[in-house]
Amino acid sequence: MSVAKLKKATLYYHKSIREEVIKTLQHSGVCDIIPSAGRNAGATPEAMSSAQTKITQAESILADLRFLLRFLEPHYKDPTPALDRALGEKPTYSMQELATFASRANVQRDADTVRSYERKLSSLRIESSQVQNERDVLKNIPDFPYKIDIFASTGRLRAILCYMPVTQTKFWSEALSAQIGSDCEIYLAPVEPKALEAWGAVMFDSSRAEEVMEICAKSNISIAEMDFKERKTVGEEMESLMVRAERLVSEEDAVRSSIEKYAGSHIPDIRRLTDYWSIIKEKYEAFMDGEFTKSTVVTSFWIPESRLTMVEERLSAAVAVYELVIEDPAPEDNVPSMMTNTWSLPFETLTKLYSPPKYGRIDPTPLLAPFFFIFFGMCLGDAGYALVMGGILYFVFRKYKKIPTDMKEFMKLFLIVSVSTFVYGVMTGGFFGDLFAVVPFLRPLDGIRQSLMIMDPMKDPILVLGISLAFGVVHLFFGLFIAMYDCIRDGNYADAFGDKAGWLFMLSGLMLIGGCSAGALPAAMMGFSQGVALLGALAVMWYAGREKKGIFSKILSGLLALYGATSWLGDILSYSRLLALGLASAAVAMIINMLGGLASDIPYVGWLIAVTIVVGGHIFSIAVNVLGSFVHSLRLQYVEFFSKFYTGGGREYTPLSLNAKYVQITDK
Amino acid sequence: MEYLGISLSLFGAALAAGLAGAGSAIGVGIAGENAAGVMTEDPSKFGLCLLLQALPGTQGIYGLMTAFLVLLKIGLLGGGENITVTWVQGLAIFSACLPIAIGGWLSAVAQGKTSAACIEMIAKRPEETGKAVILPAMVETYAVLSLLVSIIMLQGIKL
Repeated sequence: MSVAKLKKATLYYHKSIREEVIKTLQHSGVCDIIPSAGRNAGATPEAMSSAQTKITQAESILADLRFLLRFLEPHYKDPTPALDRALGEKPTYSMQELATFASRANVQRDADTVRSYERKLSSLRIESSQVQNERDVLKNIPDFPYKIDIFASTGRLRAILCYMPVTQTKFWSEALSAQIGSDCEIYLAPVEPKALEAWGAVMFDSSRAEEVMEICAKSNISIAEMDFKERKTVGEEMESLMVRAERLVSEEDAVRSSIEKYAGSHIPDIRRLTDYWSIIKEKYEAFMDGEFTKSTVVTSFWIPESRLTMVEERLSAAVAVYELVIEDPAPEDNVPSMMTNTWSLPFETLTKLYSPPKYGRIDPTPLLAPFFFIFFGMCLGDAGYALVMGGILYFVFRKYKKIPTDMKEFMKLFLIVSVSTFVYGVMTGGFFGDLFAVVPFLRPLDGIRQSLMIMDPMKDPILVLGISLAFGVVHLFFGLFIAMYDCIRDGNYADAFGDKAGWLFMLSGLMLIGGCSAGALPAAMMGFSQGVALLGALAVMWYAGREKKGIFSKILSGLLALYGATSWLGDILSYSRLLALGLASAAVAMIINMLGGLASDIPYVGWLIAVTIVVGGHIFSIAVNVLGSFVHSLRLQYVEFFSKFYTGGGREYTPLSLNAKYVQITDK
Repeated sequence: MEYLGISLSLFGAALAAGLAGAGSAIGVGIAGENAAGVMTEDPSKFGLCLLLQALPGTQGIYGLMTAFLVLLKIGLLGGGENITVTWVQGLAIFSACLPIAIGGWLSAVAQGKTSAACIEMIAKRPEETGKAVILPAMVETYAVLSLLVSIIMLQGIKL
């Protein structure tokens, strides 16, 4: 129930054996290195600067590798599907193999090659957009009678190619011919019926340039820009542009296919190199976390008590001279926490999702596990859905043997809660809703379903509501008991008996009173119930007012504390979601079955539509309801349960290890 | 007047399914906009984003469920016997639909906004998904309570 005992280990060793020492620590995978913040300021011994060089080297290689992955991965068709990879189907290597491989690889050269591909692609793209631009300009003046290099002329004859709003063409051409007369020639391109823009050109004597420009400015025209030098007629240019565009497309295709080929042959290498260099970088960073003198290095780390011998054995096997000092954590230390769950290990993720416990405090995982189990079952509550969920997970576990631990435990969680879902489903008669009652050939099974059914939430929701709220009371009281235990353990008796026990008494007293007045309990119990409630209320009031001065403010803060009873009422009512979610999944399943039943009346194709609706509908319903059940069962733990005794706020124990993303390291 | 009871009941069922569904649509839409934004940067967050986007969708299901219970109650589904519903009973059924219609609709919109904000949160801190999933669930509590009241009221109406 509590977290593992950790020891603070401090390791003194000579700088000449740093490789072996750090390597041993990293391979053992149980040492959470403590950074020595700022204590090395000023001094940069040789051991430190050489490690820094290694880190810089690893970082620059990693930067290249990341560039390679980012550029090449979109072009890579992975032979192992992404799902398989996520489920642990990764190539296996030893560190030795990776090191040999890394020493032979030339990442710099690979990056240069890929950068040249990148440059080539981008220059091809720039050129093809330029070609497209020119085609866009020239297609507007298909019948322009002269060579277009006239627009680049700087001699006596000048020319402008321009476009303007269709409405302006008349004004523009009339103004030009009226004012410049025979010193200019106007060309107007054919205009499509609904076009908004018209293209035109004017060729003129350079001595009249200023006047022409003035008229152009008045007519609101824009001058077309492109490189007109040494170009031929529009027809000839369009043809050569088309040829160029085709050539560019085929060149780009060629570059792409060579990138694909390159990615196909290099990505697996790049991936394992990324893993290798990340591990190396972490190793030297861990080393840099130590303290340095001229020739000695001091590395300290947190280690679970149970793993001490293992690390000591490994160290003495690897190096001859070192000094290992083991201490208990001091009160001011920020000790990481390592949870030690056995049977409740699959539920540990739920605690981690909230926040891991502080060192030395209670680990809530085994405490929440049974409740999460029941609550999830009540929310999903369908035996059919449970079979589907459990079946899929069983298949995954059979097929994939190397699933990463965290994911495996999380999947096991769903396998476990599928049991409670199945049981509750049988109890409430949920098997894909009422599928047995609807499908004709399954009807014989419906008798069995009905005979196993203990209660029907659809017909008697009040009963299930009562059960839900009762579970709520048990859950909350359990939380209070843990809080009380925690306070007693800390020697904090005022909290334990004033606050926690006070509320326990008061709430149970109130419920007993309720029971008596409703007639569920003998009336003779009334006096006793009132006494219990009063005792609890007095304890709560005493606790709230114990640090106040003066009888008046003591009473006032005591009464205010009693008002906290409303929040308990809210907490208990919150468990009504167990009924609501259970009903929702049952009702959705029923609706799907009913729609399927309606569809089956359609002649000829009805059965096909019905099967599609029923199968698709239930898949949808499972997805939505599993999500809802998970979130709401979790919320009851986090908001209602944890608020009674658990704050989290611990730092997760993260040992230095051989952490790989793409491959599996076989070293032990 | 003969069909007023049935009409009122159907009006209630329509509001329950329609308003709660509309709220869910808005909520899921708001969350989806943010999800798309986050995925432009990092498409690998699709799974997490989808999870958070789906959360405001439950109100629509609650509304559908309430409408369905009403249809069952007044005998329009299941091909059972003809039930006569007086206008007083119809009005009662209509009232029973209101909690989930209103609560579902507005809470779905609010939950959508919370989900959207949480999607942004996991964009920066994907390790905090647990907390990001719980915050929208806090809003949903009130939809659950509305649904509960609707169900209890419906159960209490004797035809």
